[in-house]
This record gives sequence, C-alpha cells and structure tokens, in this order.
Amino acid sequence: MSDTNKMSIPSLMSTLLAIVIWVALILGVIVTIMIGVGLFAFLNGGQITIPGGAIYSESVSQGRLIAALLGLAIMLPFLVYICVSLRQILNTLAEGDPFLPENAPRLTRIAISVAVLEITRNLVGFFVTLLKLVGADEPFRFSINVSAWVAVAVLVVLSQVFREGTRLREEEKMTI
Amino acid sequence: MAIRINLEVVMSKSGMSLTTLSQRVGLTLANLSILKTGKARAIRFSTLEVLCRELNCQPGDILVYEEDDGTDGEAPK
Repeated sequence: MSDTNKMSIPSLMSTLLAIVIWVALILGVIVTIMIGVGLFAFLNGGQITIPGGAIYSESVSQGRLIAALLGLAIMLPFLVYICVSLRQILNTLAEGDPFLPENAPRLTRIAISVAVLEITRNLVGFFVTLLKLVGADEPFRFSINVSAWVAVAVLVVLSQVFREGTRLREEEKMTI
Repeated sequence: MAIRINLEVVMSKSGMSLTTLSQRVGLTLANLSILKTGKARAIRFSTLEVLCRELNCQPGDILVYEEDDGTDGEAPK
C-alpha cells in the first residue's frame, strides 16, 4: 500500500502541473488578447467598437499596456517551460527511476529559467522607466527577490546531486 | 581498462557454457554477458565467489591486471 502511495504522489503532482500548464497557456492567451485589444483601443483614441458593444481604455496608460505585454511575452514561455520540465521530472519519478541522465540538465535549465525570469523582471522595469512608458515621475527601483535566488541556488545544488545520483545509478547497474 | 576479465578463457577450460554458468550462479545471461565482454564497471565479492566456486578457479584466474596507457581508466570516487 505504501508503494502505491509513493507512486501516486508524483503522478498526482504531474497531473496538477499539466492542469497548471494548460491554465497558464489559456490565461496567457486571454490576457494577451485583452492587452492587445486595450492597446489597439488606446491607439484608436481610447475606444474601439466591436459588434454588440464598445471597448474603452481611457483609464489605462499605453505605457502600462506595453509593459504588461512585454512582461507577459517574456515571462509566460519561461513559466510554461519550467512547469513542463518539472512535469517531465515528475513523470520519471512516477515511472520509478528519477536518476536518468536527462534530469540533471533539466534541473539546471529550470535554475537558469528562474534566474532569467528574475533578471528580466528588473530589466523590463528598467527599460519601461527609461523609455518613460509608465510615467516620468515613477523612478525605477531595482529589487532583489531573495527567495528566487535561493531557489536558483537550491536548483543548481539539486542538479549536481542528480548528476552524481545518475552516475552512481549507472555504476550500480554495471556492477555485476 | 587495466583490469581485464578472463571469464571466457576460464569457462572454456572448465567446458561450461554461458547458459549453464548463468543457471548455476544465479545471474542473468545479460549480466553474465556484460561481465564476459568486459563492459562491467565493478564486480561484487559475492559474484566472484560463486563464479570461482562453479568454475573451480581462483579470483586471479578470472581477473587479470594489465598495464595500459591509462587513458580509458578512471580512478574510483
């Protein structure tokens, strides 16, 4: 029974991640369309007319819409990629052997993705302020998300542990 | 590798086939084949013991040390 429970947790998490990926993709598409429509409405004098109604974007600045679109365009693929990689690792765990040669590079790539997300978050903020997209009176504030960088460090260490684990597993396999 | 497995020679001396040896020592044919072809990374004392018992030989008959240039050898971690 304990074996069944051990197997079911990674499988359950894998299924949940699959749902998260689809929700993120669907939300990403919806939000992109909404921002796009908002931007189009802004360029069209704050209003666009669609069959059955009209869309107004007077209360949101063009800069905020561009910043949101830019942030979404950069962050969403990385978030989806992280979820897909985590799911692939969980699937190998559910199949009974997570110490496969491809899992250590996957963890390294997840760590890089988290680091890239963290760097681009600040870069987008910097360029948006530099180009005065949001407002000239809002100065750029560089911030370090300690949790994200701790996560990057943990992932790098974990990938090295997996690399060593894979090597030991391979050696154990070839020990007769 | 500096350590060479001489299993094939010992087997032919004792006139035992791979299948028979596999049945007697309780190893799979695949594992025994890995051992025979020198692809194994390590050998357990227990494996060596049953091989010596069934082939009526000493560990030194199965394992042979040969000097090499050290390019394909790897120090144990």
